[in-house]
Order: sequence, then structure tokens, then C-alpha cells
Amino acid sequence: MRLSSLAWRNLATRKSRTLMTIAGVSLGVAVILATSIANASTVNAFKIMIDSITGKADFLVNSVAPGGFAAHKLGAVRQTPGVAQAVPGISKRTNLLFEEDELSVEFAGVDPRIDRSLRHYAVSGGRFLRPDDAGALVPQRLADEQKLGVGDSITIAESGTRHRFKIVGLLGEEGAGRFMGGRVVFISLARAQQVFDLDDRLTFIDVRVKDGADVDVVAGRVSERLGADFTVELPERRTEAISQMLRGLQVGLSFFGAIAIFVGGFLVYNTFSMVVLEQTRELGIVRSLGGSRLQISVLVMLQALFIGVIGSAVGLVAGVGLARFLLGFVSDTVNLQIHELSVPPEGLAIAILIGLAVTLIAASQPAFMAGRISPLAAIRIRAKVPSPGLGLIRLAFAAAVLGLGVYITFLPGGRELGRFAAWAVPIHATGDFLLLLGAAFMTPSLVGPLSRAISWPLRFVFGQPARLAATNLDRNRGRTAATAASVMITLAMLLSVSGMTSSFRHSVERWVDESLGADVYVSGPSTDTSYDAVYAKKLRKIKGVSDLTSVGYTVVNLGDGSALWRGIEPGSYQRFASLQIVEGDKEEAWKELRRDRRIFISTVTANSRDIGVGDTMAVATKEGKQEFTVAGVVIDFGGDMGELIVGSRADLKEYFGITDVSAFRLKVGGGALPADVAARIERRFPDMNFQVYDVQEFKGMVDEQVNQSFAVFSVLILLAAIVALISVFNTLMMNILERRREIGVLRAVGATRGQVGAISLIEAFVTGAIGGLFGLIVGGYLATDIVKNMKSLTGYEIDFIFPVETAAAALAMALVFTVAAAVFPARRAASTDISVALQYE
Amino acid sequence: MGVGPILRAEDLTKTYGTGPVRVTALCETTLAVAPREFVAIMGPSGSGKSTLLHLLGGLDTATTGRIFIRDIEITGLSDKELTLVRRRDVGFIFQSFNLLPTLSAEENVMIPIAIGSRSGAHKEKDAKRLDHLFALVNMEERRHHRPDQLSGGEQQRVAIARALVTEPAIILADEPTGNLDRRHGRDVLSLLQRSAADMGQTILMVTHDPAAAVFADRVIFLSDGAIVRELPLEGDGNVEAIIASLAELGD
Repeated sequence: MRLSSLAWRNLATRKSRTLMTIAGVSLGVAVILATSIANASTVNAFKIMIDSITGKADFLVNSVAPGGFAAHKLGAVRQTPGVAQAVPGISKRTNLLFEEDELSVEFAGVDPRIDRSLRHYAVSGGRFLRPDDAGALVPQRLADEQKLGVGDSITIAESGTRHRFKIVGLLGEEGAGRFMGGRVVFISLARAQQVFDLDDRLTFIDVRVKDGADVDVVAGRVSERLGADFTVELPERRTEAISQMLRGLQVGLSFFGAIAIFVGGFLVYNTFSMVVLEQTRELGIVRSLGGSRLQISVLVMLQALFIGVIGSAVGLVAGVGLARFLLGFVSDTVNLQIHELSVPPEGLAIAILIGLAVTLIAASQPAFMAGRISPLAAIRIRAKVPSPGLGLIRLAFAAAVLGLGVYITFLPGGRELGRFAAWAVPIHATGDFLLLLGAAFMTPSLVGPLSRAISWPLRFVFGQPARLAATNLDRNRGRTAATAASVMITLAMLLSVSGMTSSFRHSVERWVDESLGADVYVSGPSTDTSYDAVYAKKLRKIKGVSDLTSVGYTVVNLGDGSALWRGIEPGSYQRFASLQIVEGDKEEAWKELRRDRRIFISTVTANSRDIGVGDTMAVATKEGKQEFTVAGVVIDFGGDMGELIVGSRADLKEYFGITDVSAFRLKVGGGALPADVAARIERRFPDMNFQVYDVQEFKGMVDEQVNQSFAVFSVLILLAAIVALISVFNTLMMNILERRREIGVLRAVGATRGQVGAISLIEAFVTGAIGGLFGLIVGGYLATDIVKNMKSLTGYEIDFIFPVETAAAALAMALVFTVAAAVFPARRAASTDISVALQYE
Repeated sequence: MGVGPILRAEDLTKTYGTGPVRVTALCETTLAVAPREFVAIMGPSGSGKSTLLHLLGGLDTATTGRIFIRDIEITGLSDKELTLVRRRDVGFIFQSFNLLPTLSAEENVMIPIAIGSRSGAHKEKDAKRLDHLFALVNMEERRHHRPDQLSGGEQQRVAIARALVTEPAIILADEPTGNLDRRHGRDVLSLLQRSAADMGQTILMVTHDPAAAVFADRVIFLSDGAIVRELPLEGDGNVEAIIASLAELGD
């Protein structure tokens, strides 16, 4: 008989265990593949979004000031040498109103006569827009979601008026229909100008250059011709900005993928230790019949190969399904609907390779041990004597890996690494990984003392079973350690994510509490919606409103990126918010802000440019580049990816020509309730597209956003936990199988079923406790490193908060799950047939 | 003897499987063992020796028939009740010693008492008993050693001490010398013999070895699941008689 068929038969005889091991490998591979698909699909979705709207355009022209620019600029662009085509458009974010709820969408006003020469419209039903068309073109997917069709109407509210659009056509899943993940409505330019009160103004121009012309040169010419009021944006820069934005998410996903396969590796190691153990006699017989050491090792490795191949294959299928599931969460996190899966070939290859490699590496030690089985094992079994020499080597190795991991976490992160800043996250993730690995290798050395310590009090309750459990755990240190390590890693991951979330949430909440002192918030659906300043007066008149301040927003160009400009009224704003000024004297700073060209900047903006109070910052204004002096640095979680400038509304008017208001903050008085006042505002201005929140709702929204940002990671942790649970179950089963005879003896000399079962449960409990306690320590440390990194990566001020409640709950859950995983093995032990077990060798 | 048997089995039958794969391991076997008696059970492989021993010790349940230990019927007891019977009234000695590898010799001996007490702690009375038992099996010097630090003979002596620790009604020994050389085997057998004589223990021993069987007071021969002969052992020439009986049974 060939070795491979013997290996195959060995696996086939132990079906349930083989299946569980395959499941562990598959889950690991699935997570790796799913994260790589999620990464690729997210980047792809953004690319599609940009391509779908830029079409054949080479660059995009925008005005610095919101509210658009005069249509005659189109002529100036068209006349620029090298320009082949300039296509005007209007883009506005607003809410579609339905009976029950609202849906935020992009409204795009396009010129039906020429837009199709630039963008691809795949009309799947009805017709395309006509010039002066009053109707709308809606993506098929959006229409289906809302159960709409050609001939139905959609409604929006702008500046106090409701506007209805009849759907004249539907767009298929390609080209323009995929812009914003299909959250888009196309209308004619003429209708857009009318609805959004733009007269003959435009908000962007797409430009295509002549064949053979240099895009950069033409863009430079256009920029020169239009002056400082305009910005010229090349599509590559957007793509670049997006991959920058997604980097954190990608590293996070990859890190958890690595963890999943790591835990899966433990499972495989456990399983193959068990395979060797169970087959000791068989392998001994093969040896005694002339099988070489190598053949025995090969026999075990062949089993690993089968499991690796099948596990990876199943994992690939599961990975695609899992990716779809993950993308649901990623869509929420990045605020873009991702429908399409991109399966990167290198992702597939890596997933298969890692699945196979981890399985083979994990099985190699048991396979080597199998080769050393004496032919005598066929005849007798002696108790194994642990080798202290190996223990010391392992301890030294573990300490070295752990030390290296800790050392790396102490390395500076983010910008402190200068031009290697992009490597900060991968470097720290490697450090965290090494730390986990070192801690995992260290567990065998700690199992002895820890299991004795933890089971000591249990002796007083459970008596002899607790004593036996402790000695059993100590005897199988390697296996106990592998199980405890699985629990440890899962718990550490759980804790680091919840540490990250709770720290972030805590800091955001503190910011919300301190800086958002208003009772009611009124704004538009997005920061680029604005209202005439006259609404400040109207809102003041609402019953219950005692005070009000107006805020204007615009996105400004800083040359090396963009930031949100929050134009406030320094006089009244302080009554609503006490900004957390971290640099500069508070009173002095506020006084300064009233002066011309004085600004506060967020920590993110300050850190990314290494500037502080007294420094100046160049901002593109309608009068060209102007220097603004930093009067204070503030902690603020608002802004464009954290990039925020707080300036005065006076400067907003002077340098950007903006007098409109984007948001109002209100205080209530006279015993009125914020919720009542909010309701009154909504009733009084039904068609203003006002988003009105009382302070509680506002906090709830912030909380939800924080949760959404971290939801992906929670899902991945859950998967790692499932693998860990299988691993724990496997180990406990292995303990039972190995000790069948001992269990038989115990039963023969008078141990009850309950006592025998209790031994297994206590072993599980103690193992869970060792892993749990270890996990709390390692996880706590990892969380501090992750938070430190997040701080340095984003520039946000985040205080580390140890998630006490989650830690307690996680520890309790670790214990419950480990003990639960032991219930079946314990029952199996308790119901052992004594006379059979006694003959078992 | 004037006293009733301490162990009694009536019409014991044990079958495995059903239908065409049905195997009868023991067929309507009846036997009685008197207090302090040392009985050897012999027979060819597959004659039902081990099955009989397992049934008598409550390790397995009979298909039909009844077993009495100290006049208490153990057939039909629940698992929990059977466990208590094993703990109090039966001591086992196995061919492969079956000591728990993680425990010291002393801890192994104490197991039947420790699992019966809530805290698992030793009492003073137990300590005296241990001293006595380790003296009896001549293992005083090695009572803190673990099984893997003991020779086969030493392990079996520890196993005997374990079987004796609860002063059970009966000790069941399954090939106790099967894994030992002749010298250690003789040690173990004379120890068993002394236990029966001096401590008043009743012993039932399964063995293949006529040289082992001669240590008993009486030999029961099994064949095809039934008792086919009994041989009381007195005086000399017993080994030859046993070998002759076995030869007749075709072993």
C-alpha cells in the first residue's frame, strides 16, 4: 500500500476531527482571502466612482468658493490651447425625501447635448435626458431599492421649496450609473441651475485635452487663465488621496487576516499532535515492520498536505462569501456602496500558499516527533517525560521574540519616522504580531505554575478532580499552552479592538461634551449645503430658542491637500462651545481669532504640517494664496479627514466670498425641551432640507459613526474566536482520548461519572483562565500601542482608555466558552466504557 | 466454613452484538467465592475469563443473571450505585498496572479514598494505613516516586496497595503477573497470597500461568464461556495437575 493511501485512510477514519481541522484551515484562508478581496474591491469601487464621473476627462476644474462660478468661465477654458473639450456640470449633495425616511444622494446637473461625449450612460430603461428636461435619470439599482420605475417621481427640498422630478430613464451598472456607488441622480443642467438657485452658474468643468497634448501643461494653462479662484484637479491625485485614506483600513484587515491564520495554525498543530498520539501504536507497528523514520514523518506530513489542500480549497469558496459579508461593513465605514467583488489573483495565490504553508509548518513538529516513535511503542506505552532542555530553548526563543515585539512597539510611529512614515503601521503591526507570537510561545513555561495556582482554590470545592485536573494540565504543557494561547490571542485581539474603539469613542465624546454646548443643531444634508443668513433671524423667533450662533463651512485648498474651514462668530460661538485649545493661551487665542487672518487649526492639521501657534499657513482664497496666522491648536474630530481650520465668518466672507450659513447652533430657554424645539423647527420649515438634532440625537449619531468605523474588525475577531473555539474543543477531545485508560482506571477504582466529567471541565476552566488572564495583559498592552499609532497616524488627540467592562465580559466569555467547549468531551469521558477503556492502548 | 460466600454469581450470561454478529462471551455461569479464599480462573484465550472478572467487579453489566457481593445484589444497580460498590467493595489489579502517571505512588494508592472524600485531603487514620500498606508491599523507600520512576514489579506492588487500601470485600486481579518477569511475578503472587491469609482478603485472579495459579487455593477452568472444571489445590504436584487440565481444554 502506498503511503499516501495510508495517510488518506487515517484521515478518513477520524472524520469529525479531520472535518474540524479542515474547518479551521478554511476559516483562516477565508479570512485572508476575504480581507484581500475587501481591500481590492474597496479601492476598485473608488476607482470606478472616479472613472464613472470623470469619464474621458483628463482633469476637473472647481472654484475655490462654494456656490459655483459664472458660466462664461467655460468659454475661457474652451479657448485655452490644448483643450479639446470642456463639459460643464453642477454637483450638489441633497436628500431624496420619501414618506418615511430620507436618503442622501448626489444630484448631478449635466448638459444632455454634450455630456455623453465624455461620460458613458448605459440607459437600461426609458430614455436619456433632453436639454431643458425637467425629469431625472436614476440608476436602476437605486430605483429598485426604492421600488421606483420610469414614470414615478422623486422629491427633494431646497431653500424652502419642494421639487419633484419625474424619472424619465434608468441607468445600468456601468459608467455614470456607478457614480457614488449608484447613489446619484442626473438632471439637466438647466433644471439644476433653477432648483439649486444657481442662475447661470456652474460648480465644475470637466476638461479633455487634445490628443498628444501634455495634460499637466494644459492644466497649468487653464489654472493660469482662470486665476486663484479656481483649482485644477487631476484624477490621479484623487486616487492617491483615496489609497492614502484606505491604508489604515487595509493594514487593519491584513493584520486580522494574519491573526486568523495564526490561530488556525495552532489548531492544525494541536490536531497533528493528536494524530500522532492516537496513531502512536500504529506508527510503532509500521516502524517495527521496517518503516523508516522518514517514512513515518512523511506519512504524517501527507495527512497535513491533504488537510491543507482541502482546507485551502474550501477556504477560497468561503472567502468569497465572507468578502461579500465584510464589504457590507466596509461600505458603511468608507461611506460608499461597494457592490462589485474584485478578486486579486495575488490575493488568491497568497491565501492558498499561506493555508498550505501554515498547515505544513504546524504539522512538521508532530511529524518529526512521529518519526522518533520507537518500534517498541507497538508493544508498550510509557508515560512521556518532558524534556527540560527543549523547554529552556523555547523559553529563550519566546523571550527573544516577545522582546523584539515590545522593542518594535516602542519605535516612533507615523510622522516621527520621516519619509518612512508610510511604513509606521506595517512596522507596528509586525511588532504587535511578534509580541503575540512571543507570548504564545511563552505559555508552555507558565502553564505549570499558573495551573497549580488557579486550580488550588478549586480543590476545596471539587476535591480530588481538581487535583487531577491540575496535574493533567501540567503533564500536557504543550497542549494546554496551545489551547491557552488560542484563548489568549482571541482575547488580546478583542481587547485591542475594544481598547481602540473605547479610547476613540471616549475622546470623541469628550470633544462632543466640551465643544458642542448647544441644545439643538440645525444644518443641511452636507457641509456644502448653505442657507441665507436671514434664517438665523427666523430661527431665533421659534418659541423656546434663547440664543443662536451661525457657522459657515467651506472646503479650502492648502496646496498640499484640503481642509474644512469652519467659519464661526467668535463673539457668540464661545457661549456654545469651549474648544479644547491644546496650544496657546485660551483667552489670548480667542481674542486673536477676532483679528483679520487669524485661525485655529486642528491637531491633525498642526501635526501633519508640523506647525503651531504663531506660524502661518498658506490658503488658496479668491484673492490668491493668502497667509493665515495660527492663533491656537484645537482638539477636534470634525473636518475633512480631521483637517480643520476654525476661522471667523468675517474672513469667510472676505476671502472666500461666502455669506451663507451652513449650520446653526441653538440654545433653548424658558424651560423648553430641546426635542420640542427641534420638532417645532421641523414643522415650521418643512421644505428647507434642515437636519435638526437635539443634543442627545447628535451624540447618538457620533456614537454610531464610531461604531461603524470599527465594525469590520469586530466581525474578524468573531471569526478568529470561532477558530479558537474549535481549537479548544479539539484539544480537550485529545485529552480525553489520550487518557481513556486512566479514565477507565479512575472509574474502576470508584470515581463517579460526575467526577470524571468534572476533571475535564476543571481542566477547561483553568486553561481558559490562563489564556484569559494572559490575554488581558497582552491585549491591554497591544491596545495602548494601537491607540498610540492611531494617534500618530491620524493626528487626532486620543487618550488611552482601558475597556474595563469589555475586559471583564471577555474574560467571563473566555471561561464560559472554554468550559462549554469541554461539555461534550467531558460527557464523552464520563460515559467511557470502563472495560473497553482498560484494554485501550 | 460456616459463613456464606462473600461473592456469588448465578446464571451469568454476557452477549455482545445482535443478530448474525452476536457473540456469547459468558453462558449461564454460576460460582461462589468464600471469604479469605484465593481463587484462580484459567482457560484458553476467549474463554470468557476477563469478561467474568469485569462483570463481577461491576465494570460491565451482565446480559442476564445475578451477582451478589456480601449478599447485596449488584446486578441492576444504577451507574452511581455501582461506582460506590467499586469504590468500597472491590479492588482491582491489572496486568498493565494502570497507575495514574501524574501521581506519586502514595497518591495513586490514596485515589480510591481521595475520590470518596470532598476535599481529597488525607486524614491521620489514612496516613497510618498508608504506612502499613507501603510496609506490606515493601515500598516504603519509594512511596514518593512517580510510576515512570518505578520498575514493573514496583508498579504492580503499588497497584496491590491501591487495591487493598479500602479493605474491599474482594480483590479482582486480571493477569497481575502478565507483564512481569518470573522473580517479580513471584513477589507479587506471594504478596497476594499473604494478603488473603494474613489480612483476610478474598482474591479472584485471572491468569494464564500455571506457576501463578498454584498460589491460589482453588482453580476454576473456563472454556467457551462456561465453567468446565474446578481444581482444589492442596499439597504438591499442583502445577502438573493444572497443566494437565489445561491440556485437556486445548490451551
